[in-house]
Amino acid sequence: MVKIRLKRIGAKKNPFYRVVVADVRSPRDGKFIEEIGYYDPNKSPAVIKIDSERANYWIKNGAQPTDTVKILLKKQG
Amino acid sequence: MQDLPKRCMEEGWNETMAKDLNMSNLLDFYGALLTDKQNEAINFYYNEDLSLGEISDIMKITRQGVRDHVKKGEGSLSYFEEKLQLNKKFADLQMQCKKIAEVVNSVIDYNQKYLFSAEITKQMENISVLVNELIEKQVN
Repeated sequence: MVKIRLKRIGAKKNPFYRVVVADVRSPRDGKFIEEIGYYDPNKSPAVIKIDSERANYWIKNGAQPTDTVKILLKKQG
Repeated sequence: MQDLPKRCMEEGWNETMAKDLNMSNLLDFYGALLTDKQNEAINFYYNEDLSLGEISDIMKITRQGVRDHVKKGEGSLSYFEEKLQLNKKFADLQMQCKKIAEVVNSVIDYNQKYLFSAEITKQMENISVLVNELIEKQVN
């Protein structure tokens, strides 16, 4: 199964998240299939940028977004 | 587990049910004060956005065990923040420094338009450096 999840990058005390598509079987090594966007909570308001075409494509093909990603998708509309 | 995402898509699904990413910030400040297990579990949970089940596979403990580590750790992090407020203070400091940087820039602009003083530009640049150092010191 494939999941869409957030992955934190960015320095200490300066969070920045990538929205990535990754296989559930390799959660540890940080490998991901595709990066489809990012989430930057440092700006106010926080910047959400997700390629909705790719997100829809992956969801249609059975990828499961995590709850956190769900919220971002919803906020972006 | 399988029907969870579907449920989230339904209207009325409550956003407060999801993870609070602010925990990830608190982990930066107080992570060293948690136990290693709590630190590891919370890092996976918030920074890698893994589920409790996935973390239990990696850490080779039960799902319930992971949940306990995460919950206990979250409790400690919230408690530390409530008492010390390092995260809030840091955010405030960053905001203030940003404002100072804006003022510095407008002084430089004004100087370049009307006063043409090399000394003012130089001193303003010194302020910029100091402000940046101030932020960097807080991060390390």
